[in-house]
Amino acid sequence: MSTIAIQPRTSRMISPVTILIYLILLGALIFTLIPIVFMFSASMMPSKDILKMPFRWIPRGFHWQNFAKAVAGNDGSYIFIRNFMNSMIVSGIVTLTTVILSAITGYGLAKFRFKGRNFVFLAIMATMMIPFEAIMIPLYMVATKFHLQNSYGGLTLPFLVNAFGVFMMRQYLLPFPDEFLDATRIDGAGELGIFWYVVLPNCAPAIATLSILTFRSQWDNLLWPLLIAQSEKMKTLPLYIVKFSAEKYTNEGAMMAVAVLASIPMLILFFTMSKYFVSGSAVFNSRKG
Amino acid sequence: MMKKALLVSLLIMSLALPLFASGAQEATGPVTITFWTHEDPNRTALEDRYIAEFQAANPDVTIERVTNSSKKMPELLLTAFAANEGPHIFNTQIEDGYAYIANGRVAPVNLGAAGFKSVKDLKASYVDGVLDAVSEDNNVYGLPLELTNWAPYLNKQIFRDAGLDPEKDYPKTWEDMVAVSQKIVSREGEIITRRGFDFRYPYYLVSMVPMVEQLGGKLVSDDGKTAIVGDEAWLKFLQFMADWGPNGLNLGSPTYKNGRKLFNSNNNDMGMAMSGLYQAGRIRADNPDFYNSGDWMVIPFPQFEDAVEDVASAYYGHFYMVNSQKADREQKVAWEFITYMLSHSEEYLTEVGLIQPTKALMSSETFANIPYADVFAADMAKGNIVYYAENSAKIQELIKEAVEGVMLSGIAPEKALASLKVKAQEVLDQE
Repeated sequence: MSTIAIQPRTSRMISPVTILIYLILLGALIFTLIPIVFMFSASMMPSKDILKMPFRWIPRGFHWQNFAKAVAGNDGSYIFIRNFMNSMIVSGIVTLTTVILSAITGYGLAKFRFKGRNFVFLAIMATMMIPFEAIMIPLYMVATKFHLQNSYGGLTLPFLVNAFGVFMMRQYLLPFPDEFLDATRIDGAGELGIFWYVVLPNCAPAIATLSILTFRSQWDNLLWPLLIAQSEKMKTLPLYIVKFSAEKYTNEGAMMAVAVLASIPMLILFFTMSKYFVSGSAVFNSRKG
Repeated sequence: MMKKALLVSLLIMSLALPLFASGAQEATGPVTITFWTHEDPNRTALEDRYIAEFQAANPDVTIERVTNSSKKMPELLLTAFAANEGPHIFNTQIEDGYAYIANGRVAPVNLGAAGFKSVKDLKASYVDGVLDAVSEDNNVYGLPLELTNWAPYLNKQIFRDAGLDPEKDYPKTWEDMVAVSQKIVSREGEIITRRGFDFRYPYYLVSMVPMVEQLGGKLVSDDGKTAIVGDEAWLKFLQFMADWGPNGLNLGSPTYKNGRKLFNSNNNDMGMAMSGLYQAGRIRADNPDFYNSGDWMVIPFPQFEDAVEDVASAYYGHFYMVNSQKADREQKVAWEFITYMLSHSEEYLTEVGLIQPTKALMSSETFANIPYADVFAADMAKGNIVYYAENSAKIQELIKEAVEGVMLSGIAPEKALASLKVKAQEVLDQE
């Protein structure tokens, strides 16, 4: 049994550069957190207090009516619950398919040699250069021709896989040892079996990172659901939030309360998967084993 | 082998698409009318009831009313119409809606369905001129859901605190507005904590172009060929705004919170704010104590002392329009439903604070009994419809640039005007 010798810590002078870096980071942290703190704080205040200058960061009490209004909605229909579920379903479906399809495609592009492999990869990458607004109208036309308005199909189909996901998974799998795959083939495993039982479990950090990024982008997606979901029952949370901004009047308190409620799933997702997410930063690092 | 598998997969996927699909409307039989409008809780309650009543009277008709944020409506409508999938009925501000008329995307009012013998009869039922914005080739292409003009709402308590008598000392001129605001304004250092009045900065066409018109200037010449007419008027207006702003008398600024939003709270931070008749309903909803206190009033849109024209705030409007791409029968039903809704103009006024300027409503007792409705009506008679054209949003952006330039960046009014003239002319020439 070996013992580990613990080195006594030596006190070191913190350099001015380090202090400066920490100060910059602290500034960036405050800058990032202010809107979030404002959202939480304002969600607990009556609208009258939200508009008061200077802004009182600590609410005088908990104005629960904001949350009641947020859940009940302008018309008291409680459609919030359905819209919340829609967001969960749409984000969940898109995340699942993006991860699986991106992993399969990324694996194919990283580990299989075939004619035109680089062209296929570049063609997929080229789609990242096209802004969504440019394809929005033709996409809407296709969706309406297939009568996909007000359906989960319409909400999810355009996003089932994305180029960034393919790129990310390919980059992650490039350094994966070929010898390991060959050994598994010699043992008699089929290609799908290799992918499912060997490759996928080794991609956990990349999958977690891609999941968070995809889920978040769908959770926040406003433009496509705005076009395709015209039924109140099929709307998603971003559409529900903007309804509190009526033409002549904005209910800031209720709007902030909905924003708080809408943030909860993202916060849970981020904090439960953050350790993988951090590891995911190594996705683009070479890690030849 | 792989290719075949891929093709089969794609075929299965495309065949499976209808499984995700929602049902399409039948071409015959019962008719479904889609109706896109903007979010307004009070109006929603009203129109949901009208839908129920109309459907009960017309069992083969289903009205699907969809609300969206007003900020998103223009984008939504553009996309839907580009894909030939626009709704049967929609409403939008005339500045956005005019393009649909110009491009033939909306149908003229079905006179039979709307209960009129002729276009002349239809126009005669409304206040003179209010349908001009939706009239082309002796047809009318929309009916007003609302026409709104603005006037200053005044907090009497703040006036009294400043030693002013609101009934006597309210500002009649823009010069008065400066003097009164100087008495009311409070500051912490250079930061204003209480404003006497402030403008509705994003809406330059509605509330500021009339100020220029008072001085004899124009946004566009009568023949529509020249932008920014009357240098002297524009210079005086820009100088007034420069003096108003933080580099001048520091009475207000576009950087502060919208005054209309602060007014209802009665937090001793907004003496006067510019808004429409609908604001009274919002005060009642937001702050019933303030509403019932009688500590607020509405005053006429001020004039410049040396005004050459008696002009009040412009009025802007939302018009209900009908998609011309829909079948004739559906268009007719759509107009019947719009007519049914608009037959309740008194209810729109009392419940939502929207003015549908029919002669019948404007002369009704209901209108006369709405607090300060007379002020808005008198001002509306002195105002013009807001500038509407395909370029109106761009023109408004250029005025914003000029006003914010003189107010916030210290740009000389002459320089701001020169730049505004050149850019606005370029925009106009592109039409």
